[in-house]
Amino acid sequence: MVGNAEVLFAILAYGCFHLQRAIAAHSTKDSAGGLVWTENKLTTAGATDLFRSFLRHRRFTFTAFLSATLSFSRKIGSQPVSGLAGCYFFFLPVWARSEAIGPRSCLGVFGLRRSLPACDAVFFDVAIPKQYDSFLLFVNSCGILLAMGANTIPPLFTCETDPDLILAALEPLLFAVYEAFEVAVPEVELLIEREGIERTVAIFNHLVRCKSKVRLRSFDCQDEDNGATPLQIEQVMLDGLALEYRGLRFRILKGAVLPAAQSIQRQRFYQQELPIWSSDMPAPTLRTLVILWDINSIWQFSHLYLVAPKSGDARTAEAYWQCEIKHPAESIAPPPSGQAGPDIGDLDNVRPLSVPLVVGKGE
Amino acid sequence: MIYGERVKQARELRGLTQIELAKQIKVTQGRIAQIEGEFRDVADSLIAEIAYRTELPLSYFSKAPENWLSVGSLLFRARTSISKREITQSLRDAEHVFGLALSMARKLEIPVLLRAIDGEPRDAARKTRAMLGLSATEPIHNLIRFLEGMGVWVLAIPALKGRDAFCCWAQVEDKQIPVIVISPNCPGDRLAMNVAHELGHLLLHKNSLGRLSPELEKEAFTYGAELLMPEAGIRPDLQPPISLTSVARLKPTWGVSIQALVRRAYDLNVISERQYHYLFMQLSAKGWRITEPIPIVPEKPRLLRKMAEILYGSSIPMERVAADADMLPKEVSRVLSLYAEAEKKPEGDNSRVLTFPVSRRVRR
Repeated sequence: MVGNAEVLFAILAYGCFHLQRAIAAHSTKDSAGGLVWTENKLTTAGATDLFRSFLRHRRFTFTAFLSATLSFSRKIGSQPVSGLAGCYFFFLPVWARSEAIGPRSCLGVFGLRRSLPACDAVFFDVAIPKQYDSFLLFVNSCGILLAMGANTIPPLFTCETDPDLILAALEPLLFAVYEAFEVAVPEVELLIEREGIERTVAIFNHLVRCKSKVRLRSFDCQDEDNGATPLQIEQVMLDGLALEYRGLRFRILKGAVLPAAQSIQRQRFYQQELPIWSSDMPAPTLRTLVILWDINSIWQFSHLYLVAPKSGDARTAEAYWQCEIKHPAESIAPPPSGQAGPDIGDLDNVRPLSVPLVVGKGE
Repeated sequence: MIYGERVKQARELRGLTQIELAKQIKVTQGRIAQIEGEFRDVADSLIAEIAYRTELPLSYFSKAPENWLSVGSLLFRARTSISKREITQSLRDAEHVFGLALSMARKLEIPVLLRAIDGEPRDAARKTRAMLGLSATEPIHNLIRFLEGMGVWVLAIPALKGRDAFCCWAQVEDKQIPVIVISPNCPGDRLAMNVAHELGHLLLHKNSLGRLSPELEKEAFTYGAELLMPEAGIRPDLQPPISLTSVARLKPTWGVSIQALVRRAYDLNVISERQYHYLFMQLSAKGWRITEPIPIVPEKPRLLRKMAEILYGSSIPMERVAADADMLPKEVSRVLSLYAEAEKKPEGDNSRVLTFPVSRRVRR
């Protein structure tokens, strides 16, 4: 459904985008502290699409989920779009975060985040303080949110979503990861023995990660909803494994429990809540997940866990929940009862005898 | 007049020792031994008590005993933890059900088309597929029905102990009937392999069933694997790297266990011995050596119920069948419940489908 209100907002978005573009023309710093120069390109049509994506909302939390748009914009070679989020901030006093500058960013007030136009963000969470509830009503009365009917954004999870639902939704990815490790571990075992490599935990883990990464690249986790291939393997340091799938970001780590977040990046990755979060606000949106893998005492792949991290520091890590990922075989549907083969009738060659006391026709 | 041997058979059928039966009917063990050793008159009250305790009709004891079934392959694969008494009980149970089938088969024509096959197990399996009219590459999802169509009596017995199946050639008058006895409690994936394995014994080792050796056993396994998972059909599916996941995906298609598929991959040199052991260690760690995921519904045999339906009508009167077979109605009912009923055809479809269309193979 595309209504006048949507077009109106698209125009607004496009107009305000120029403001953002002006901001972006200056040098800005990204999360790593480096200077980033950006040039945003956005057409009216693009703004409309962005607006649609942006209209996913809850009572006090607006979430802009821009994966599809970003994929598109990357294809045509332009910069990732962040202008719309900035535009939105321009109208509403909000707290926001984007994964590109770290989940715990608290710089996004009044849309003047200095890093926002430059960031390579996939998502933005926007929390609007309560006192602007009336403003939301006004926005609603203007009919802007009518365009929600056209919202095709896949549902997101919160940190309170039933883990089983999340496991089910992420099944293609989790099974791909499972099989990757299931294959990689014995391959590494064989490699170490064949090449006479010194067996240490570090080398073993390193090789498993490398092999798994290669294996994961060959998987094709098709997203039935979008028809795209949403599994993206991020380029991270060394042989680290980081994935993006259906708007969620994953780190694949080794261990049976969530390891401590010794780096700032890891701490930001674990952090799910915005700093202004309070109990009367909706549960924070789940943005990051950790997949844990481990081996047993005889170097065999033993298990895979999915963990929703909550927070962490150099010594500890806290999770909302941790679930064992069941073996993919346990989700394979059994064949229907009485699976069809060639129809051979109903033993039609068994017939009554006119003269009894004969069994068989002889061998 | 009763036959002492029948008392012994009844006792063994119920898994009782002489002492246990004696205690139940409040006589001495010596008295039971005496009864079992003779063909003589026994007090009606005593034989009625024995009949009550063994859940058999009185007529059972006055019929001359017959030993149609030999132990066949029963002894060879029996687990060492199973006692001789339990093995005997299994054999008696099979004889009991065979007697029920025979009581009906005497009034029917059941052609035995199965022929012993000479030669190497893999070749024999290919010949068997040709004999059954099956393609050389497709999975078999109703092996039991095919075999019953060839005149093999597949008997499901309630209390097969110590193993999942055994086979023998039953001697009835001058006829030989191929018999495969199966446990109804066996999971479908294992059942298929068990039946194929026993078929291998029937065809390849007809004259040496009572004295099987590990070599003959290996031949039967090779035969069963080639029959259910022909190399020409399964090799394209077994593409490395082989993992439990990749193998498990094949299970619904081929209807055999993950263990059998891993073994097949090893036999076809798709995986090394090391990988084979690794995968089996993984299976053990997950407890899948005992209970595998992806349950396959076991195929039920049909022949016994089909006989009853021909002779007594589709609504089988258990009392009449029981009277004809010297069994109690409740036991007949219990036995027949293990056999497949006639498939209901859509209304208005009176045609008998006898064609062999291309099978519908489910590919991943």
